[in-house]
Amino acid sequence: MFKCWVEKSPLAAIVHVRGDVDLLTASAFRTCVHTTASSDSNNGGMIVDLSELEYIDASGLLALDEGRRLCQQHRRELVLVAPPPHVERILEMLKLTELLPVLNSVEALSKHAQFNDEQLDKSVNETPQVVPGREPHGGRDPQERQANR
Amino acid sequence: MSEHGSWGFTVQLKTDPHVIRAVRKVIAATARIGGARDADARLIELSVGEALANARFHAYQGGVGPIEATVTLDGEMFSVTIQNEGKPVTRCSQVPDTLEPPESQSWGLYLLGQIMDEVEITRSTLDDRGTAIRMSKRLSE
Repeated sequence: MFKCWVEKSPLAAIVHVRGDVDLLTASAFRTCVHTTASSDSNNGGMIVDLSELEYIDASGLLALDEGRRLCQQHRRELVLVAPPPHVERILEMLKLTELLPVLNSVEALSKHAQFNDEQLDKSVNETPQVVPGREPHGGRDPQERQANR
Repeated sequence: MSEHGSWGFTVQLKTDPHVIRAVRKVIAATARIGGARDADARLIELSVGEALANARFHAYQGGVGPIEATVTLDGEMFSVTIQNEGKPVTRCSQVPDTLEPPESQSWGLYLLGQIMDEVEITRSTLDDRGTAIRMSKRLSE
């Protein structure tokens, strides 16, 4: 079942997506990505957690690329986290992996240029601020997510 | 040679998004039965989804119209043919064959060409207007 929700912190906004991004759901996913990428209340970077993504079509991939461009306009970086192998292969085919950093886990952000350890700890430990109409974070914890890859 | 021999089926469907989702998953499951690895089955699902979405948007201008999908497995070669009865392509439609990804408007067809071993776009045999796309992938164990 498709779900897309946003977890906010001072460091970054994390867009979580679960299920299929296709003709039925691409519009909602696009809105979620666009809103987060262009939000003035988001002062940090933007993370899209793909660990629970089952399927994504060209329209969903286009939404990610549009999100990248919007983040550039707002001088923030968009980072993809934990794409399943088949999704990563599609990202490679489109050479999006050359434009968007792809990390194995949220923990790996600590080694990423724009995210230091202190800020990351603050980010992942904060109580999620749920965007109205979105569901709170209900996915597996990051450590479990990495272990299952 | 695959243990699965030669077999296949044909389904008639409409380009309703719910139906498209169901059919692409059925075809991916069929590929797994035919011996496809999970990663290949998921990529075949994407190819079928893009072909059906193209039929919806281009042949039927974003609406609902009839489609015939034929799935065959011949040895290790898994093939899907999707035919519509909608608006004909105004020029010879080709799968982008470039080293670099094309403009984002053509990503679906480009991915289809990257994923499948053979892709052919022809006139539909259902009527004298529509378009057919036949795509094949060799299933490796």
